[in-house]
Amino acid sequence: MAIANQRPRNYYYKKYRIAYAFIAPTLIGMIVMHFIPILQGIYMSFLSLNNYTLSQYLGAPMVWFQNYYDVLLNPSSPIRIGLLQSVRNTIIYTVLVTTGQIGLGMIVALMLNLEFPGRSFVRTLFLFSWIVPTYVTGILWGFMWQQSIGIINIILVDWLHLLPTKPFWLVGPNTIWAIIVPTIWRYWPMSMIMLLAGLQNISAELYDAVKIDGANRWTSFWKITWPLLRPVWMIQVLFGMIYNVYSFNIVIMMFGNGAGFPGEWGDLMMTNIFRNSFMRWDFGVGAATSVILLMFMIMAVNIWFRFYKKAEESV
Amino acid sequence: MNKWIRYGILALSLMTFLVFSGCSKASKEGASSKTTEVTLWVMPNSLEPVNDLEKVLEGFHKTHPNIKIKITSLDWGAAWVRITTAAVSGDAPDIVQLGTTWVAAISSMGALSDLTTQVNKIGGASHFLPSIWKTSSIEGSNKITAIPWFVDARAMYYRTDVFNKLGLTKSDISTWAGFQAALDKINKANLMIDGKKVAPLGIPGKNDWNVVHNLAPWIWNAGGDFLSADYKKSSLNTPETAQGLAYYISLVTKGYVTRACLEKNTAQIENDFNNGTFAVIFDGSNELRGLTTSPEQGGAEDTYVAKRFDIAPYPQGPKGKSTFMGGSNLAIFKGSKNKEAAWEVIKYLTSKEPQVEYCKRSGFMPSVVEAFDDPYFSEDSRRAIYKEAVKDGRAYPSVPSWGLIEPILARRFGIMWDYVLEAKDGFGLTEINKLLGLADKEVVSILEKNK
Amino acid sequence: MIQKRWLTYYQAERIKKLGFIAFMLVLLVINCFPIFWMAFSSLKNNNDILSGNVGFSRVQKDVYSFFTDKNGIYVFSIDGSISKYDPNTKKLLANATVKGQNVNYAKDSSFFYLANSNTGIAKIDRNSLKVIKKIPPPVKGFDTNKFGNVSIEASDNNLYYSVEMAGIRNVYVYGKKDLKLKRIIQLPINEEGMIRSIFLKEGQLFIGTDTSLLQLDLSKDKIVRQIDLGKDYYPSGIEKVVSIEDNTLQMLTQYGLFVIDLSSQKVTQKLTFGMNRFDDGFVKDGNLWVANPDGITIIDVKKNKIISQQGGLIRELKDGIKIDPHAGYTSNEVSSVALYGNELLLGASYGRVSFLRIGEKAPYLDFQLPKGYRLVKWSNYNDLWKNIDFGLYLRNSIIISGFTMLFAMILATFAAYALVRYNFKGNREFGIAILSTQMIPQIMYLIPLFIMFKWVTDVTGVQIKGTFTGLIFIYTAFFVPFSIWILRSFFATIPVELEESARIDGCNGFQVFWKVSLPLAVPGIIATGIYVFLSAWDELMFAWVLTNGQTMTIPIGIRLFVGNFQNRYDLMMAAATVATVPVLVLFFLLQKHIVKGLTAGAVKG
Repeated sequence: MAIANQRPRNYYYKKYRIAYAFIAPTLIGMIVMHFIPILQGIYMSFLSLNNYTLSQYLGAPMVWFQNYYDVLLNPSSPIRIGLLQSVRNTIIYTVLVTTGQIGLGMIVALMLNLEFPGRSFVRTLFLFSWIVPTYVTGILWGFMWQQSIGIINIILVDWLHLLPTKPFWLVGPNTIWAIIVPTIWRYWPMSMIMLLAGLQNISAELYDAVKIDGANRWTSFWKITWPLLRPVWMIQVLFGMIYNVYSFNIVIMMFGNGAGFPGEWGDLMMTNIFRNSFMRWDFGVGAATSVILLMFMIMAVNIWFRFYKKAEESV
Repeated sequence: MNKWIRYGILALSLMTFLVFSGCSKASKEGASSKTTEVTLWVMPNSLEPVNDLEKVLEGFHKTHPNIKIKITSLDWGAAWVRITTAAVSGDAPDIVQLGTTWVAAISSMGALSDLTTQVNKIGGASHFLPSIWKTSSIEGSNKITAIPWFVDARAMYYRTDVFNKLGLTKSDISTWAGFQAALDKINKANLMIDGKKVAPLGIPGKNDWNVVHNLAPWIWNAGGDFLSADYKKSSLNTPETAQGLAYYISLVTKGYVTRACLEKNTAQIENDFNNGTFAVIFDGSNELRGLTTSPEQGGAEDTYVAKRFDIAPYPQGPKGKSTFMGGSNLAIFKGSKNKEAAWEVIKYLTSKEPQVEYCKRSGFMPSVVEAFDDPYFSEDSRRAIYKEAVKDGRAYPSVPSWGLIEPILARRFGIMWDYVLEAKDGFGLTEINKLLGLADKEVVSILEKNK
Repeated sequence: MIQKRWLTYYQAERIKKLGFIAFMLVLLVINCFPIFWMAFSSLKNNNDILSGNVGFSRVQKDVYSFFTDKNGIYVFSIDGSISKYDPNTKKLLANATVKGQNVNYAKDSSFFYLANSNTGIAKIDRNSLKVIKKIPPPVKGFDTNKFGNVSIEASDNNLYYSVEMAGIRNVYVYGKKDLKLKRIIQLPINEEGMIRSIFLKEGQLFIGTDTSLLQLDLSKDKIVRQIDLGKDYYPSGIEKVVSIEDNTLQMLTQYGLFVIDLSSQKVTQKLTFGMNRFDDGFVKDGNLWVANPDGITIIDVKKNKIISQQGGLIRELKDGIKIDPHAGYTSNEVSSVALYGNELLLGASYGRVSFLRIGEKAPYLDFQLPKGYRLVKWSNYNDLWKNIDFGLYLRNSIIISGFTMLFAMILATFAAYALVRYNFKGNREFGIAILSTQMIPQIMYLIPLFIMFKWVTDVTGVQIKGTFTGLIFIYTAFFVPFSIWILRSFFATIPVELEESARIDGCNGFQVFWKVSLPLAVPGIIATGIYVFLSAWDELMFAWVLTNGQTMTIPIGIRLFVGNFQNRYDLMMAAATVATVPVLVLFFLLQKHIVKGLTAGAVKG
């Protein structure tokens, strides 16, 4: 299948000199802006880097694994308490947002794959939420979630009577929903458009074949569409995972107008690290947390890659 | 194809031109003229932060025609990050407004220049309110790094119509017990005034900058504190602190505060008070300015409440009746190239007339003693309450670690409101002690790191 | 046997189809609702947002003043409408509205002149209440929310217009007939001063500023008097000059009656009517009747003494009268009083008009003015630029995102092409490196880059932090890897055969790329470019730390609308709309390319 062939293989020319010239600027840029800083970042995680020692930067006192110990093991360290909550939130958030955006994207993609008048216009309208900047998304939904005057509670409670009383969305455990829903809203059109493109590439003959076997729509979806689209949605899972674990803007804009702390159920890894680094001026701990997070991310991507390879082979 | 390239080159050259013309313009200005430009970062202290300050500085420009002042406004949310990064990097303004609670932390980074000799020339400590003067340097050091600019003190606003209707007077709310009884009376009366149900008390919850400031007077007045007297230990985990907190929280759990409040910030609470939803709120003097300013100027003078409110000091607790006092100071960055000009600006802003003028525009109280002689602060009896309050005012300790402790407390006490909201069967002393224990741990770790 | 179906096949298909359409519509509505709500809220009044009113509320309809003649009773209200009632039957005859803020009225024998601060001056026929001519206001470029009183006065031939705003020191003179601007009188007021209001009496134009009273003789075109009112005077302008006799001037202001001795030019007496504003008044039998929100005050003008203050009367009036609960304002008080034969006409803030016989306690007749129009505040889009320096942030965002897009595209196009077409040593590693940069949390770069900037500044003396260059540099570096990733898939869809034939024609490697592949890749480049633009437009964390006050971008600046001292949700929503619409339009125009470019990787490896 053409879809499966994710890595382009049609190399053509053997002369490399021009190729090196083409990638040289990018390569230099990446070394300066990615490679060196990341090494420094890892080095930072072994330093006691705070407001007193920041001016010495890499000359700050070396504490080796103290920061890691504080983050992971030290029971008396305050960072750890907040960290567990952000880990829990980040996992819930990532899983729900990723499944939400792919699920919703799949449903709408299937609908848009049918022929009906005005299809391209409807598709454009569906894409609109993807264009709204994330900081606007945060502000806007924060505005809509407000308990007494927010439009969401007005619709849910006053108009539709779905709930008996107006719930709090920005305080307490509901906070997690208050950040998940806007994120799905902002990102699902991207999944949808990718899945739609994949769908349009599946030939109708395959469906006809299973139809003869007596399959209904439901089974033909699980037998043909879903497996054939696997490379597409797996890429979406990968990027969903990365983006959502590192999600920052929506949360910080939704809660940033107050004390900037989203609460126990709204604090994600990134807001936690940002607070530790910049509000408490403990960059060493911030860097250590980032490094740990990066390790987990690398692990997760590796696992993902194994599945992906299997999928590639099986198709 | 060629078309695309041509457009591309055109766009590229146009944009390059734009950027470089911008840059060269800036550098020319600096080189050719002899005027010095002083850059000044302020926070939005009034509705039009830049305009208002420019108006106040007009007098300065008359006497100092060769000093230009460029004012930039930062929002409080980003200010801490910006100022601290500016302190470290070279990209800093000449003068910066610092919240009183930040002074120690930023001076301890060695980023602020020493203003002791200059400030002694204008009278030193005696020129300023003693309570706010403490914030001009790190506790225990005699190096003055930040000059007090204005004072933000808190007091109680109450509705006279509600009080009259229920036969309550100012003296009824002068103690904790009386205050609670009064709130209870208002709560039971279930008043509808001018089409609005009046809730007894409005306090902002967790989404607010003032989370800690709102709690502080109650903790202090119960005899508790955040740090021990020598600022080396935490005293959060003491029965007095817990008692103060418990009293404040009980006002919520007893139903005097609508739960919707806990999601709101100070500005929203003010707005609700102006619209007649609360009988009592606690707020700074800028709210008084709002209630006596016409709607055209951004005030709420036309509302029903604006004609029917009065101000009283905080109710007396078991161990005192202090109010929270914050405000802002002005400091000069060490890296500044125009230190003399910058000092002239600060000197002007801390002299009498500009102080009064800025307070009129921002609604805050002056930091300079002689500014209080102005009739503006005594002709309205309500403003006079603040004039008294600044004498009883209490500021946070000016120690370097406070800048780091405050966000921790803000987070902890913010979560507290989450718990209070979720709690089905009250939020009593056990829960409070548990919470204070956790906060205590965090504060201790900060104090240890900053020894 | 065929089973009988309860629906025919076609019916079932049709229901399915309808259900499908309904489902899709519901999804569409839900998905677009937040954007709609943002745009909708940006047109609302902030107070409505803060009190949770869903729709646009109606304007406040306080009665401003009355005018009566034998044809009718005219009621002027502050929303800019005039209602004409039949004097006998008290029925509404005609109604005219000119929308605007800070409305004021002038009248002559056959016309009314209505002036406001944002839509200008209108000339209205007195009989039919038809708007005959309308002109825009003379002052522009101010935050319209900050305007105070507008005054308009009519002489025999001219109209005099002034508006209360710091920095405006002009009285504008219009010809009465054609409403043409005749001239501008510039007044000798200090720079910060403003004109509170003007009042015309017997060829003399009295001008109340925030510190003084000026008297302009219109026939001589000269300022004949300038009385500094100093500290005794609440800066409230003048409502009415009651009399100028025997060297004393009696002047009504919003806070009370001032008696000024003209020889010494000092205020000799000051009668105030409580803390409340004065709104309207008239003279009857040598007594001045004044109404303000607390009641009616009667003053003996000769003796300068308050005869009675009938607050209680108005209170009683109030309790017995039903008010429109949906009117949406809080005060319910008398705002206007006029003499009507031997009766009083009272106007209140809910647009209620009452007829009261003097001496009686309750009015014998009430009626309600027609409802005010719904207020759609387009002016939010004007004010948002003035409340904070939003224009600067918008410009910064455009410059930074634009350059980032440009540079990232140049770099990414070359690199992606090389990756696809050349199997050079390290191709695979380079590809993996590109993907792995996406896995690193950006916050890890923040401090090192921040310190690196500082270091460069220390060494070379070139400031990078807080400049466009620094941010563009960082953004370019961050968005290049992902751009390469998208573009690579796109280049791969371009058939190699085309390049082959170009090679045979004698093109070298660069020419092949430049002349064959690049033009074919333009849609992909556009798509990726837009994506980069959007990402840079969106970036918050780096902009937060690495910009300063002059280079702040929108996400940092937009937070200034809601903070410690103001909660301008209306302006914030307007600003959010402004930040969204350009990218939305850009997307709408180029969406075909974008969809094609971004999905190239999903379809074909």
